Amino acid sequence: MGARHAVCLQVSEQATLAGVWSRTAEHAALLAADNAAQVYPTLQQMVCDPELDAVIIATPPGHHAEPALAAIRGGKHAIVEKPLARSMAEAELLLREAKRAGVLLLTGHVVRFFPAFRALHDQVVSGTIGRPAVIHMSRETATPLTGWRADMAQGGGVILDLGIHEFDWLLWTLGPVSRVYSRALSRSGRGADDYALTTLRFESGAIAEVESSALRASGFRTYGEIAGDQGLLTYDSELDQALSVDTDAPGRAVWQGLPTSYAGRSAYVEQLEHWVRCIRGQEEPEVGPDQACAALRVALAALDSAASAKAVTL
Amino acid sequence: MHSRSYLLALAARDDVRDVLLLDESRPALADEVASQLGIDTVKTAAELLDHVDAVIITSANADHRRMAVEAAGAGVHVLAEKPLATSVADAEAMIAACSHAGVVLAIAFPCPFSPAFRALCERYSQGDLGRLLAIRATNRGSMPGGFFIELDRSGGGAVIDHTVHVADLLRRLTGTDPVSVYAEIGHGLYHQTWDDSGLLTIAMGDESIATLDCSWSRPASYPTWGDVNLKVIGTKATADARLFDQYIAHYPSESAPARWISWGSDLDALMIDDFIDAVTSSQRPMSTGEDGLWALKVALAAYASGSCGAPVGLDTLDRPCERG
Repeated sequence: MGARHAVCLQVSEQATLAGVWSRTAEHAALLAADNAAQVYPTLQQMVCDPELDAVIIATPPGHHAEPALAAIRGGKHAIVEKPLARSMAEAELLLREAKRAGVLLLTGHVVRFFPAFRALHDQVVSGTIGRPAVIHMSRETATPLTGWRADMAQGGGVILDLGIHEFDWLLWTLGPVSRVYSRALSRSGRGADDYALTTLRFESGAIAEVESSALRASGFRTYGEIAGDQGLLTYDSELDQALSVDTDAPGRAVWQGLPTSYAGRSAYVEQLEHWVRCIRGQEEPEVGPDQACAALRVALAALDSAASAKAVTL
Repeated sequence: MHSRSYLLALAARDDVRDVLLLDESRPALADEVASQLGIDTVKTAAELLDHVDAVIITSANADHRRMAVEAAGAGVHVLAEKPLATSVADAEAMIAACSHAGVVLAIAFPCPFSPAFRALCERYSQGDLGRLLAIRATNRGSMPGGFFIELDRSGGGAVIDHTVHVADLLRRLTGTDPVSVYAEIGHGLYHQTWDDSGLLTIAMGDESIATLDCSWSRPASYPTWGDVNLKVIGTKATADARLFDQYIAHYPSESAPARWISWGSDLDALMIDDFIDAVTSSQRPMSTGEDGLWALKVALAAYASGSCGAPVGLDTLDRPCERG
């Protein structure tokens, strides 16, 4: 994800990548070289750089809190990839520290910036289908859970890695969740869970099922359907037929297994420029610490439920 | 709901000599339908049972027991609409009565006759899917009205209406019986006392996990009645069976909604054929009273789970909310 944000910073005229720090020196060197940025040998040196306005933290979730805290205590705005942290305790600590330091704490729940999901959200909140009642959402990738993602303790499996996108979107669109029931599995029988089915009950009375999968053989698919008391909305990424190319060579444009949507601008760039406007005080954050904590709380409840086969009340 | 379809299927068979229609509560409607189809009506059950070899019960769910027991008592074979009954006791009474009388008791589950479902089962048994891990199912429809939303006649709303088909398919696919059910049940589509939406999680005997959306969530404008979909995650492959996704789309020139016109197999007709074969040649029908009872138990466990807020075992339906 660090590389992706670096590309966005290249594309956007609103901000520049000033420098890179990584726990792995080679990663930092590579990323810095690709982007004509400097390498900070230590985290401390990065957060003490007076030229820096903000730090984007794209380490694995279990390693979000430490660099985020360093940034916050160094007086830098902290922009953290999702999930905000690996535990509620860490997330709440970041929230308190950011408030105390008077800096922004933003989280990369980028799905809010994808045009289809924004449109779906807008349709629901504007009352097109009345009051939502029963919802399905699905996110399937073909990217196997490798590296730190293969470790449940680090990555939380598909519930934390993928499902949290849907949890955030659902909280944004339908309001607070009251109960969570989740079942998850690892297809190979080892490593992190790569398939999960999570059932949510909302305080509004609505019910939702979220499917999170890393089991596709190829491609990527997202699906959303919201039935309300005045109609039904559906979205299926498989119907994104704006452009397809038939050729012997590998066809569809993909970035690390994620889709390119033929919309005006990349959602990641939109998100980045939103962050810049927040930093300049021109806009309120779409996803502030409260929203990020709420999504994390649902995801952790789902992990609890999946481990215990019990429903978890929030 | 399916009466007309069944009547047409019966009319197409040479070996079905007479079809009689009985509707005790709506005799005028029965006369009208009968005259359209060129068949006769009778006015009482006694008259009906005197004349026929088999009955198809399409009345309200709560009436299935009385009618089936009466038919069995007269030595008449029974095909009952789903759900089999509204309680385990009623379902067991129907099974016992028909067994005692030596007559067939079948339940109207058309989906096992689906070529797509049969192909899915074949692929599984050939090893193409590997071991079954999870099944994500839907059986959605639109709110049917009539006795379906009169709780004392139906025994429940969307959950009892649309759980049973998939519960039966899950048993056939996995070759195991359901163990427990967790359900979130909703009233958010119509805001009535009857449930209109449900999301079930069913743990099966082979340790696979199935989820089911049984909601009446298709609005009146939806191009078709609903769906039966099974997405099956196996260790070797994922299969997606969409039993009714064989259609052509019709876009009217007036401002009316588009409609999907099915070209797929007539599953009702295949089911009727199977029932008649069971009656005439003493073979087991595709779906028996026992199959109907298992499916009913999944629906009843779902209701119990909705009340408890916890998973409910099918073996503890009489005391669902006890812990431990």
